[in-house]
Parts: sequence; C-alpha cells; structure tokens
Amino acid sequence: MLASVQWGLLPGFTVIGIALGGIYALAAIGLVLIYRVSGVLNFAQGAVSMFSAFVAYQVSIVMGAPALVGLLAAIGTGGALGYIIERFTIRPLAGRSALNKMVVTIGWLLVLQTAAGLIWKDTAYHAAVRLVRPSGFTFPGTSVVVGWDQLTTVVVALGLAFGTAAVLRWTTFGTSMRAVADDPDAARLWGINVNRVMAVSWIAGSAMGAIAGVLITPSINFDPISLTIVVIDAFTAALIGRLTSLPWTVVGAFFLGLAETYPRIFSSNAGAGHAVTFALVLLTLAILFRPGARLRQRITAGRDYMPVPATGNAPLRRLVVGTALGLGILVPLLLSGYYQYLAADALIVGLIVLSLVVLTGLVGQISFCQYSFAAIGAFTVGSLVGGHHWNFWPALALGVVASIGVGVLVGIPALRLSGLFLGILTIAVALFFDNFLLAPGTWDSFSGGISSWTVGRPSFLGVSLNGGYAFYLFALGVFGVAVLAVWNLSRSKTGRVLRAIRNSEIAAATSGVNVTAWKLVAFGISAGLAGLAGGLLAPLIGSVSAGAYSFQQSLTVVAIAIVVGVRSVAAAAVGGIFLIFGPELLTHTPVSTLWFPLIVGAILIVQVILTPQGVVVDWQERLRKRFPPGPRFPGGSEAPTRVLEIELPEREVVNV
Amino acid sequence: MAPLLEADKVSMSFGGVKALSDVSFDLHRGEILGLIGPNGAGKTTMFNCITGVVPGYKGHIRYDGEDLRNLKPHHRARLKIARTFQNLELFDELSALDNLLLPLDAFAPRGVIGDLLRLPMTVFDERKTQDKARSILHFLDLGDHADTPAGDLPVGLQRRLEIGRALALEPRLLLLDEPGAGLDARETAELARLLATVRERFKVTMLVVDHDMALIMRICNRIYVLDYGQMIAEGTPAEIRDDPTVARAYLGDAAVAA
Repeated sequence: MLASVQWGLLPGFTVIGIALGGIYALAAIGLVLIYRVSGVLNFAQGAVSMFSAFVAYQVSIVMGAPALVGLLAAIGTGGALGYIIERFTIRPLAGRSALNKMVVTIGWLLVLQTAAGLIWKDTAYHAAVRLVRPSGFTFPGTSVVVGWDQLTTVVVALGLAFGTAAVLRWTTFGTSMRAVADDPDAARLWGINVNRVMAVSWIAGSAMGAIAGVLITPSINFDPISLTIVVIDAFTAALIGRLTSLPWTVVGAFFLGLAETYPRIFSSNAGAGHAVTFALVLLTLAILFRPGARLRQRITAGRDYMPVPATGNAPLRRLVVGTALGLGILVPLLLSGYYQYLAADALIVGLIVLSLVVLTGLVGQISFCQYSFAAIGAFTVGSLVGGHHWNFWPALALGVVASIGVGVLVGIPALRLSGLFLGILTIAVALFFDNFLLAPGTWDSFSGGISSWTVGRPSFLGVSLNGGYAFYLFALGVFGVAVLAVWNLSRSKTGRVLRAIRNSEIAAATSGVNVTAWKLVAFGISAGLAGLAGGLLAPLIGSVSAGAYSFQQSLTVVAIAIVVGVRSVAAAAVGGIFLIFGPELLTHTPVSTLWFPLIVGAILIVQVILTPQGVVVDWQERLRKRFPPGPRFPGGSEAPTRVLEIELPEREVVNV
Repeated sequence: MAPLLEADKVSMSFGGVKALSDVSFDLHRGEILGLIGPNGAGKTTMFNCITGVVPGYKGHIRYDGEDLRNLKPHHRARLKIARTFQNLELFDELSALDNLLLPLDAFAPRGVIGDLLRLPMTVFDERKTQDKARSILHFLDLGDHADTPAGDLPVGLQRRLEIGRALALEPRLLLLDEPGAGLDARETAELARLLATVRERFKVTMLVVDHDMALIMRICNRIYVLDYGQMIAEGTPAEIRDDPTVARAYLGDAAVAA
C-alpha cells in the first residue's frame, strides 16, 4: 500500500487532524473537570453533548431561530442535565464506590441516547447547526485551506481548557474545587460547601459538553449514537492527561486527532474504522505504558461492603429451583414456535449474564466486551459449520476454547488495572471488535466472500434439535448445567479465592494465592461462558452476522446484569428473560420497543440508588430473613478448646 | 545450623527516602524476636521486603539458607512464611471461617474443574479443610463467630482472626505487624498469652513489630531496635531497656541527659 503514499496531502491532513484534536479536546474538558472534582468517570458526557446538540438543532434548524440562540439553548440544556444527574442520582451515592457511580452514568447514557433517538429519530438526516461559515482562508505561505469552523473549534477548545485551568488555579472558587477534589471530607471541615462545588462542576462540565456537541456536529455523523461514542476518544485524551491535567488533556487530544488522521496518507482505503481502531490501541497503550501509570483512583471513594451471605435455606432453595425447572420445561410446551424461540434466546443470553456473575460478582471486575467474546464463539461456529462444513459439536468446542484464549489475552493487561480503567480497556476491546474484527470485509477471505454464514441446527445424541421445543430444551439443559457449575464454583475454593482477591489482593498473595493466575482463570471462565452463548446463538438464529455482537449489546447486558444483581446465579435466568421478553412485552403495549433501553437505563439508575445489590439478590436476602437457614454446621456442638486460660510455661516468658 | 531468617545488609529506598539502610539481623529457630523503633523507623518496610510485597530491596534475605529475592509473595507463603498487617487486611466480605479456609485452599490439591463438577474427591478434601479451619477457630476462641463476616467483627476479634489466618498457613515463620495496636491492657495481656501458646502448639518462630513496649518486653527473647532505617541496638529485653541509645531514639536527647 506504500506505493500510494501521497505526501502532498500532509499539510491538509495536519489541518484536519488538528481540527479533530480540537473536537476531542472540547469533549474531554468537561469530562476531566467532572472527574477531577467529583471522582466520577462520566460515561454520559457524550450523551449529554449529543442531547444538547439536538436541542440546538430543534431550536435553530426546526424552529428557525438564529444559531447563537440554538447554542444558548444547548448550553442551558447541558447545564440542566448536569445538575439533574449530580443532584438526584450521584449525590445520593456519597460514600459508595466509584464503580457504582459510573454505572449510574451508564444508565443516563442509555436514557439520553434512547430519548434522543425517539424524539429526533436514529436514522433520519439532521442538518447541523453552523455557528460559523465552513469556508475559510489560505494559510499564509501555503496552499492549505483552513476553515473558519475548524479554527473556531480549536480556539474554543484552547480557550475553555486554559480558562478552566486558570479558574481552578487562581480564583477562590477554583481553590475550593481543588480542595474538594483532594479530599471532600477535609474540605467540608474547612467550611467549604462540598455539595455546591460538586453541583457547579457538573453543571460547568456538562455545559462545556454542550458547546462541544454543537461545534462537533458539523464534522461527524449527526445522530444519537456517533456523538455518544465520541466520549471514548475523549477518554483517550483525558487519560493522556491522567484525567486531571487540563493542559495535558488538550495536548493528548491534538495528538490523538493527528494520530487518527495521518494513517490516511498511507492508505487510501483506511476508513474511519481503522482510524478509531488506532485510537483505541493508543488508548490501551496510554493506560498501560505511561511512566508511573498508577492512575490514582480517589482514595476517598468508598468501597461497597457486601458480605457474602451464609448458605441459604436449602429446602426452600430446592423448592424454588424445582418449581422454576418444572415451569421451564412445561410452560414453553404451551407456547407458539416464536415464543419457544424467544425462550431459548433468553436462556442463551442468560449465559452471558452468568459470565458477568463470574467476573463482576466474584472478582469485582467489570467488562463491557462480553458480546465480543460471544462473537468469537459465534464466528468460529459460523465459519467452520457454515463455511467449512464441520460438524457442529467440535466447532462449538473450538469456539469456546478460542473465547477462553481471547478472554485470557484481554485479562493480561487487565491485571494491572481495576475498576474504571479496566472498564475503559474493555470498551476499547469491544470497539476494536466492532470496527475492525467484525467490520464488513474482514472475514471475507475466510468465508469465501460472504460475511454472513448460515448454520443449521445440530442433532444431540441422535435427536434432531430442529424443532423449536427441542432446541429450547437443549438450551435449558446447557443453561442449567452452566448455572449449576457456576454455583458449585462460587461456594468452593475458586469462589472463595476470587472473592478474597476482590477484598484484598495483598492478603490473598501473602496467604499463598497466585493472584495473577486466578484473575486470568476468572477472565477465562467468563469469556468461555460468553463464547458458549455465542456458539449457541449461531444455530438458534441460523446465521451469524456482526451487528448482533456490538458494544451497544455488551453495554445493555451489563446494565441488565447489574439491575438483576451480579452476586447471584439465579439472577442470570431473570436477566436473560428480562432482556429478551422485555422488548417483546412492549410490542403489546402502546409504547414502542425502541423505549426498551430507556426503561433499562432508568431502572438501572433507580436500582443502583435503592438496592445496590440488584433486584434478585435483594429478594433473596428478604427470603433468607423470612425463612432463616438452619445451622451451617449441623454437628457443630463440640466444645471449643478454651486456650486463653492455658498457663504459660515459665521459661518462655522473659520478665521485664 | 543456619538461622531460620537472615537479613544481610538490606536496604530499601522510596524516591530519595532511605527506609532501610544496611539492616542485618538473624532470627533463630523457635525464638520470638522483637523489632521495635519509633514511627517511620522502617519496621513495616522490613516486613514487606521479607514477604515480597514490595520488590526491589538491596542486600539479601535468606530463609532457611535460601535467598528469597526472586520469589513472589505467594511463593514465599508456600515456604510457610505468614504475616499479619498493621492496618488489618482481612477478607471483609467473607465469613470468619472462610478467611481461615483461604490459606488452606491455596495449598489444597483442588482445581477449577473439580470445583465446577463438585467431584467427590473435591468435596471430601473440602470437608477435611473445613475441619482444620474450624479447629483453628476454636483454638482462637472464635468458634461462635464462624459465619460472621469478618468485616462485622469488633477490632479485637479481627486482630485475632488475622493471626488465625496466618496460622492456617501452618507457618514456620510468623511475622506479626503491630498485633497489639488498638487493644486495651486486658486484651494485650490476653494477646501475650495467646502468642506464647501459639509458639508452643504450632512450633512457630516469630518476628513481632510493635510500639507496645510492655507487650514486646513480655514475649520476646531478643529485641532489635530500628531508628531511621538503621539498626541501632540489639539485645535481651533487659539490655534494651537499659540502653541509652534506645532511650535517646524514643525520647530524644534532652530526656536522656536529664
């Protein structure tokens, strides 16, 4: 491809890259301000920008007001959203873990993105609000044209970044902001109104996001999804600034903009996907190899203390599980073929929720790329069965093994990260899959030119699984075995070791646990379960296509898993049923199924505030209180050896 | 016979600060050795070097004649070196019993596959392990709290539980980092008796760091004194008590002159 290098494009691409950097800087400034003061990594930052930009669109394009009025409306909307998010959904979480707060912002992302899609339509064309003319001037001494809009973006980005930095450094209010950032408790003792400072930082950060949104929309696809995803590039820039330094964030943003643009000099067909991929690889590197890359999570952020309950009431559990199993076998018999299909789908998606029970519930690590692991299973089965006419079973086994392998590979860099930063890394992995591995064209050579394979249903022990009910029973069997296995795991050595690692890595290591190896085991098991789900989805649906395994899916499944509760294997079934039958239920109501992510996001926000353990786990606790378990050790009546009264041998004691 | 633990000119610095400089000492089998010194003297750093929690010290630490340098923390645990922590590092969300099971688990011949399938061998071995953990709980008089999450126990019991978790490793060398911190006089006396019993029952050699001179003087055979990362004195409790250098380190020059 080097033959087509066109160095003449270099100056022009430099301008494009710098303008792109300005966009990323704009998106990142509000993010950094909010993180710095309140310690919350705001996943909804891009969604707030997007929603505000759409308000500007509504005011200026639809209603015909001047562009500047649109901008003011957007700023007002952004500030209001920032205030609402902080006041009503972040402040009640004071003292809870940073991860909990991040999950709430994911809820907001889903709510705002879906709401914008419902109001302004996902697929429609939206004309961008233009504050300045796109025409420009020729850079003195060259033939490069710089657009006024590009110049404005860069100037506003620099102005906001350095203006904010100056406010933080030289004003009294800025000093109190920094004090709150360092230690909210100490700041409160000094008489600083911490709540007010937090609220102001959210309002200001979100208003800046709104400005960014309006300025960005002329340059990218103006739709609810693209603009929300800009937050990932903003994360990258912010990470280069260690999430705290505004000047370095701006430097990082320009670096990122140029790094995404220059590859196009070398390859004419390097599309946006490749550029984003490059940004993501860079993101990973930014996290992993920065000197002294101990990204400090705020020490004041609380840790969630959720003790593992003693074993529940065994007869009651048997009753519940038995009833559920009986209903699970019988009820689908009465259902139509379509509902049997959905039921099987729910169980298979339940496996993905189960994979999060292992990773998030036991080790406390979060992952936004479970559907990417599922894709490995699905694509392995698809290519081998559909493309190379393998038997289904060895293909499935290979798919699971491949997912485990990739899971361990993702787990290796994850060893050095935790919480928020691991979350960002897994997003990078998911988008790498979306934009590169699963992008149209990547698999063509393997599949012989078709990027969608058809996969027939296999037979199991001589019984054909072609029928809807037969395949459902098979899915039920696989799901049941997987749940049992994870349940076994969670109450034996593996479960204890993984929970211990979550509580204290240092104590686990000095107790003889190889922390590294066990974390990789957890990633492997989790990815293996997701891969198994993918491998089963292939014959259920009958074909394999990339769109079904996107980052958006992973995000939704995380939200669902947290809503039902990642601490319980029982939640997996509920989660799968909710995820599949929820939208189905909506088709029977006046509400469109498009509302589903919004409902999930809203439930997620409310649920994290009210029952942080998750709905199913919360109910289990209630049942446990209502029907208390028997003694854990039926034979535990032996007299304890009283040792403290034992007389000390005289020679042992050195008398002072 | 070589000493069980031998520190040979161990140095460690963080940035420009020398936490330890050329610290040497021997720990003989069966003794309880005290390591005392003012705040910031480098006592906990010494523990971190011995257990491998903080890598990158200079000098040599030999255990049973073997240099520990290239061993990770869990490898050192396998050599039966156990420790407690100054700020308590219990597995808060696990029950007291599970806390004791963990070191036993770490050495148990049970793997993920066995756990997944709950093989009969796994179940059998797990029962055996539980019995062992429960006997340690009873030994520590914590039998009634087996199912209580460690985080819900009062601090005194948490300290005892942490000693129990270290004992579950069946250690040959037990490192106790300020076991008396936060305990009142009565609890400290109980602790002293407990540690003496532990040495008898578990045949374990101990290295104890503490500020509580009464505790250290009562249980230790020998004492080393650290100050600003340097070893300034060594001797029996009586010798240390009468050593003017030690008094100076603790109380300042003026107090000693007066």
